Amino acid sequence: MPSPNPIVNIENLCFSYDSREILHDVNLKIEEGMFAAMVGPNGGGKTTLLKLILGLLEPDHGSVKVFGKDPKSARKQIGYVPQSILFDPHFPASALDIVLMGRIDQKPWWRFDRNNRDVATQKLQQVGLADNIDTPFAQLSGGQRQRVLIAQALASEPKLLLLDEPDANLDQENTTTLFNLLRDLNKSVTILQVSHNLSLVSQFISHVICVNQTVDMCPTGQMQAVGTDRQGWIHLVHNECPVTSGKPHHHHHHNEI
Amino acid sequence: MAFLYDLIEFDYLRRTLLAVLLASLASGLVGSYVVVRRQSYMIGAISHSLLGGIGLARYLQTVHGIHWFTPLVGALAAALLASIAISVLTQRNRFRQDIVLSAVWSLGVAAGLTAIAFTPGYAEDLNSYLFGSILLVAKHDIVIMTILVAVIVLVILAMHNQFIALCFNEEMLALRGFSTARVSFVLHLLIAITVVILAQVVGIVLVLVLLVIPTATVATFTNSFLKMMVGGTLVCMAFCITGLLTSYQFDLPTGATIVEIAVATYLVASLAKLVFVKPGQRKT
Repeated sequence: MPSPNPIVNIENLCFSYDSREILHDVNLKIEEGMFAAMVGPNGGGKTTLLKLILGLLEPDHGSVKVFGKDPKSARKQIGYVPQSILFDPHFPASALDIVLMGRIDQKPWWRFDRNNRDVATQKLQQVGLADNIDTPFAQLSGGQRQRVLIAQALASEPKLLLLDEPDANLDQENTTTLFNLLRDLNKSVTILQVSHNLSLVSQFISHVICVNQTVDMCPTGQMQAVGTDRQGWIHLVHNECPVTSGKPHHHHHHNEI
Repeated sequence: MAFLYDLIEFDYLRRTLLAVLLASLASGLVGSYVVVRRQSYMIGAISHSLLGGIGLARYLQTVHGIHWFTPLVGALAAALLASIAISVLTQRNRFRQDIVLSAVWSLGVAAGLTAIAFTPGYAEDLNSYLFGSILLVAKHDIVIMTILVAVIVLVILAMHNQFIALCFNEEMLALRGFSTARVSFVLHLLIAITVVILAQVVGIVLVLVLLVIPTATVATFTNSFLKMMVGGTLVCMAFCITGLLTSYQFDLPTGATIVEIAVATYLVASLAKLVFVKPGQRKT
């Protein structure tokens, strides 16, 4: 039974870069407590949709409401984990420093105070990195780095967590650790993420969202089949959706130490 | 040593050391952000724009008798103007950054040359502005440099965490309610001020090295931003003082000697890392 006040409410949304339409007539409601994964082909609009929810992009047509508000005024309640490929892995900072960036709206002078450092430490413990609080970012493994970034997003105490391909470049073991963590977090935070390896994550999530210019959502329980890498399709109740699986660079394990 | 003896004897040498200390502080503090953000090309553009301000200052002093408009004041005005122009023009990709930087770079030099053409008897000391004249730093220049370093320290104390977040991920800074345009604008102003201070030591053409190499040398061995700042300051001081001593002893151009020592040290440090740090522990 959908609640009258969904956390994310997208109605009749259209968006194009220059003249190329990326998203057409999108309608989507994310309810409190969902753990939803967006799948779909490259260029299908998954990251664009995340950025519209964050208010980093404006729709050409239609509306986006987050917590019933304009996305820009809802930002304080959103935690965002961008694609990890966007980060400099050699950035000179400790895990704790990276997490503290999530509390930057406290506007500290030079160093964060004890209270903020305690919150950041607690977030690192929450993602299972209690032993790596002072470890330099550069010396963490790919999976640990991803969890530091999640702790950073959690540091602002969000009600909604958005993740862009958190499983990219992770091997199966690290992906499982990551999704066990996200499932735990989901007890208190609504999660929407872009994913690639649907066959691996479908056991953890509550809903699959197919994004391919337009959008379909379906509870995982009603999903009839999850396409394998070979097929690259998932079959929803009403239609079928191509999935970008089988992309070779997402299955490399070289980032793991 | 002749230098130490002269240091006690001559006021200008003490002033020189103070200038080196101030310049090294600016280099270590601001250079750390520049190295992490990979903005070296911007320094080249801002430093060359200084020539326009210095040329104007010399013209106003010589031809119109406006003596308070010293080359340092002119350099500061030009640097601030250049950094404002770069910030405004490159914001939201209005213009391509490489084109804006190239234009500022060459226009600064051109404006300087034009001003020089109108100034009688100026061309002789052009060299000292281009390649440094640390031994000619005047007392009132030291006062201005001290004020500028104080401004840098205060701004960094207030905004360090915003600068760091800007360097790490601009989008995240915006999502936490900050204007990335404003934060990067302030950082550009700090870079401009630092360029002006360092130009007093090694001159316009050689500023780039002194602003980037000290912190980059330290960065090959550390993952801590604070260590980059402190270490960058100390290493910059070491470069300047060894360069001063060497050039004083052998009568070499000071700015050039400092730069040669800095680049040689950086190369040795990078090689040492390749040889002595095991591949698994390597940072880059």
